[in-house]
Amino acid sequence: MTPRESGFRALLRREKWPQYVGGMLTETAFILVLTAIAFVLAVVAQAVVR
Amino acid sequence: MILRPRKEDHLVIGKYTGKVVTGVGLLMIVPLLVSAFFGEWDTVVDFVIGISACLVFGFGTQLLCRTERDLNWSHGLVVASGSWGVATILGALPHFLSGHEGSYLDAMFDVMSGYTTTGLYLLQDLDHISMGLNMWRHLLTYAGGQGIVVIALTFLFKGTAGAYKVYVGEGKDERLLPNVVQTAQAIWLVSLTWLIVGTLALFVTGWSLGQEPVRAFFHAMWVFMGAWSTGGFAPQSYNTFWFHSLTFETISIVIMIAGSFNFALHWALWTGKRKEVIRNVETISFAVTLSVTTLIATFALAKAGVYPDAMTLFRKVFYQLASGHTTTGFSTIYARAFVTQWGPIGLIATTIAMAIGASACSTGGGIKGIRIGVMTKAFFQDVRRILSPESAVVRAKYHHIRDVMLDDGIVRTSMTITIAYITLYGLTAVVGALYGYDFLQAAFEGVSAVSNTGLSCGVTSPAMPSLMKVLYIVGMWLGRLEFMSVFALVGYGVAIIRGRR
Amino acid sequence: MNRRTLALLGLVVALTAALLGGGCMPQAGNPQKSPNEASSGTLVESPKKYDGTSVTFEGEAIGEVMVRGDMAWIHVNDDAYYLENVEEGAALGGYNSGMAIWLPAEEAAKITLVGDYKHEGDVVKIEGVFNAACAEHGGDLDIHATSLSIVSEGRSAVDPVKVVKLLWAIGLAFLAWVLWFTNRKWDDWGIGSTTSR
Repeated sequence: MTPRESGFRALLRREKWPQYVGGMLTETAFILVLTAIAFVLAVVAQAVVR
Repeated sequence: MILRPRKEDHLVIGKYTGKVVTGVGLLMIVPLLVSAFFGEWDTVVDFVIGISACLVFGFGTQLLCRTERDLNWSHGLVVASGSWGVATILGALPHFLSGHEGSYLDAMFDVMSGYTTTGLYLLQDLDHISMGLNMWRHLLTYAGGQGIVVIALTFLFKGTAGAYKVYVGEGKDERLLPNVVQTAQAIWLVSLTWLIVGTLALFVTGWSLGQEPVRAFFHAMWVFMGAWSTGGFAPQSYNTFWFHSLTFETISIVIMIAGSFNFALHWALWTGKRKEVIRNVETISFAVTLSVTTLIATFALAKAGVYPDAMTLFRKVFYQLASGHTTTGFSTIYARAFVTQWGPIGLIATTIAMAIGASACSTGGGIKGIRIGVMTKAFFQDVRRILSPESAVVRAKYHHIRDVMLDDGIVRTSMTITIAYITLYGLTAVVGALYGYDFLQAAFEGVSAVSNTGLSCGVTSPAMPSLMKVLYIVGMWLGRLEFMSVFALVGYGVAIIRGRR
Repeated sequence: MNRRTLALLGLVVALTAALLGGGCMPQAGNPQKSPNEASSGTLVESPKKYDGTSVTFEGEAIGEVMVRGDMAWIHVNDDAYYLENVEEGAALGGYNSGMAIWLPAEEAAKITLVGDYKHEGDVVKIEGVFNAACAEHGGDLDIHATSLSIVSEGRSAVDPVKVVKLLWAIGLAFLAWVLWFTNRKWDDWGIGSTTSR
């Protein structure tokens, strides 16, 4: 049990968290860009069809 | 020629299947505690029965199958699919004992749907079930998303090399870190971090939307589990329509798309390779196909004038499409509204999105972005080959964490699995049509089951023919494990009967 | 024809027969019908027909009342369980079904009990306008109600522990313990570990 615990602890080291948070923010930003594209599509579609 | 498995093969398979099922039993302790916390004693008893049954199987196989041998590749595949089978039969006990299921088959349908992160269900009177059972429904979809084998790997296997073979059998072949246990730990790190952040975000939102704090917390956690695992279960029969909020919808979209990413992509982004998000073949493929299917559905619905303005059009179309494409299955419209409001083109666009599905090595299902990417590249490579002089060597590569040369072996594997998916999609659609359902609706529902999405247009119901339920169960299982390990299990069965000694 | 082809043919025939024969639809035994002229099922089936019309809708208030400023969201089920739910012993009768209702918070405050595992909620009757795709609420299919009245009050619906289940639980737990214990003893004695190596 002990060696694996320390392995997981190595992943949790404090200096790694800025990287992790940066990763999460990148993911979120990418998704929000896709959402924005969909919104633009809806605006265009509504304008074209009218 | 198939070799008949020997006694040692049975022993090693039995032993490791037992371990995985023990893990499932231990997992039931969480809903048991939730039930005890809320004083739902009848449900507590259901979970004691469930846990005990899993442990009896687990410890029983440990007794019967005493061996020190390690797993080989085919063992790994058989253990993965076999333990999913046993875990479905035993994991269905709490569902069945709750009295909300029409039959044991219905209960198994719900549990397979949970493990495979599909989200279709046959449970009746969902709005009156216990907190404990709701916890179990969502926990098993979260666990299934990680892979129940990954869970067992982290906690029960003692670092055997064979463990990796089971892990691959579960449809996850990325090795993020040198060994499989470390990989499992990295997957856990990503999932648990998102669990905390996502639950917190949904909790604050739910609370501000008028939910009581305790309810808001549990709903947040469950919706997170449904979204991240691309499962699609939600605590109320209204699904995510319950919340009526743009903020809630946006947060759940972020979680479900993040959940549909390849774990290798997460890990690359989380270790500083930020550019990967715009270079990776799967994110590009996903962005393109999601936008195209959204475009089709948006224009079709705008033309039909179903929604009054751009904002409502955007909210409804993008939510269902993102949910379908990530194979989540959350829905902010009524199931029947796909038919009565969206119409054929809306149905088709959503079906295509579901069929393509999420990224490989994620919690999602479907054909997977990487295969679409690889096949598209191969197609253009062939076109270039035709246009080039005969002596020219036309090379192509794709980017997934690193640049990979496109060779015929990769294309062939992508093609065979894609054809397997399409065949199964077709089969479920045809069988649905044979039973008298509208073909488009039967196709929508069949694709939804096989791609592990869980959106429904009303075909799935407790009253549907038992054989269709069985077909959907098998479809979900095959789709989630990407065929090979289930075929290995079938091959194992065949070999027992007619293999050569 | 060789044996393999025959077997395959037999399998196909058996599967087809099973498919066609297995079409029996197990119907649930709960006959409880919706009290509404236009039930939630009807409204979802023909949203265009009812769009913008006034409707009265009756059913069980379910889950929770979500107050948002002066207004509130409630969900009202007019399904097979709106008078009695499964935990109280009602027979199964399909999925839940109901409507989302947006109404003044003071009207919603009349609700004293909402339905969940431990409760059968108040049966309420609302009057309002049906929207197939509400512009105010992101395209939701909802009813904007102006008034709410309580038809009958809810009650607590305790699901008692069944003795048979309890006995099974004790028995299985004991068996699991015995197996675990035997397992550990065998490990100590080294049974099986060397023979099949």
